[in-house]
Amino acid sequence: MNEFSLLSPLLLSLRVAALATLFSSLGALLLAWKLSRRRGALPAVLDAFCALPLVLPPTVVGYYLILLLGRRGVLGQWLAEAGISLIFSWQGAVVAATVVVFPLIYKSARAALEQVDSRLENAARTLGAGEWRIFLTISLPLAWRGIFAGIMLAFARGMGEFGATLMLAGNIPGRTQTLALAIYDAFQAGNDARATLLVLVTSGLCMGLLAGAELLVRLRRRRGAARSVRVLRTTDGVRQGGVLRQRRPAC
Amino acid sequence: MLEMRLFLELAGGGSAFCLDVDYALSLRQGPVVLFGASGSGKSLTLQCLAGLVRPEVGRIRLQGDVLFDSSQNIWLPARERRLGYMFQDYALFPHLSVLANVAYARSGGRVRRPEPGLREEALRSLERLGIAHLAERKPGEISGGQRQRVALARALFSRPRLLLLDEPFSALDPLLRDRLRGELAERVREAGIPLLMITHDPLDVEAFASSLVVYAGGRAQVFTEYAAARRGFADTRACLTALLARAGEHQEW
Repeated sequence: MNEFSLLSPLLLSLRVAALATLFSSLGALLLAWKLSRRRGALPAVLDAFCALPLVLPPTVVGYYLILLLGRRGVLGQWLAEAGISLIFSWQGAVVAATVVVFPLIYKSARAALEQVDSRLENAARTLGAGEWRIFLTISLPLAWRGIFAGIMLAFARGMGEFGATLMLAGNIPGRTQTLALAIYDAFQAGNDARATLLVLVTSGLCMGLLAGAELLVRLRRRRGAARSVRVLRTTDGVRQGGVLRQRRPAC
Repeated sequence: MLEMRLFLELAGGGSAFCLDVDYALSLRQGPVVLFGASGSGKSLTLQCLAGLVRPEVGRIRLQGDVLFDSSQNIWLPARERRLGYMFQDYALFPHLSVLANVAYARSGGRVRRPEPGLREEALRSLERLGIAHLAERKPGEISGGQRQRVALARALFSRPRLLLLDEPFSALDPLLRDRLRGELAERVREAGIPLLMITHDPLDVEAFASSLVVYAGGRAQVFTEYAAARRGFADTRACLTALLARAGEHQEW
């Protein structure tokens, strides 16, 4: 077992998960924004469609992607003419992971955006702000915590993507073999030592990610709390005392 | 001049509500107060005027501009109406400083750190209200009365052609109300912007109303001169009770 064979799936997994999270975030945020607080048949159908990869077995998602992007697929033929083949390439793994993590970001972003007090958005409207400005300056900053949680979850899920990636990108060592695939490969080959090592690396990485995210959220919250303590010290209003008491349970 | 002709049916929670009003008022002669119990349709009227709720049928004209006309399919979006709307609980942006809240209408992409010129201007408007020292605080860190001043400063900063106040004193404790009534009336007079207020508090009517619109059950009756309507009654409460009863009769027809 050489050093390269461990590093290669690790780096590939990180790259695939990062890109998939990035692409998914952009799409899921836009869609969550457009569909939040909408009633009617079309938004409901779109909402169900966006959540579908969450409940479908990843192999089913992978199969659909092959039908869509394979050499004889609807989009695949068109892509092939442009000289792009997503099948059996690491870019294919990114596509698979993007689709699989999409609902995680979409669902949490939609819930977080719908939590934002609609009166604040209406206030911005009466102050002359357009919908884009409201989204960027009011809705998004107020919903960031929920959205951030969804993004972290999506990244961790992207790191562990297996089924859809295997179907679309295959399991080619050094090219499309991510951590999850490498573990399965090593286990199948009876290389228990390598499997154990990969399992430990993956576990440590995911644990670190989740802990890091939690820490980041706490740090921001504490900074907010520290600010209100400072305010309390510089004024002697009764009101500020109330603010501190309200905030204390949060930190 | 403000012309309102609104028809809107709301079906929700088993009970249907129908707003059906038609009146015209001068905004020049002084503050207009829409008075009525909660659920009488005055808040809905204000939201239609501000462009936040779209009526089914009707027409809204303000100072010669058509804001809404169902027969011509005109519906000016809220952001283009230039109306300063002060919400009942003030709806200050909790993640922005007091100064950033006030400057919001004109700060473009630099919401958190407005440009120096705009910052100066916002500071001056806070100074006029005696709250410049709170500029860097967040709305959650100041008192109710201070929040009301910030909301007023924010609405005025957008240079509105009409100021809409939604129950401006109901979120404050009663001891503060009296003082802030006088203060708010003074600031609005200084700014020279016509005022339209909705309230269910007779004391607000007494302090502000030049003309009065009485709401009951989704219908409205206009009294262009409140002072004239008030004559002959012992106090405000007696006068408003009588006017409400008249509006109620009107509704029975």
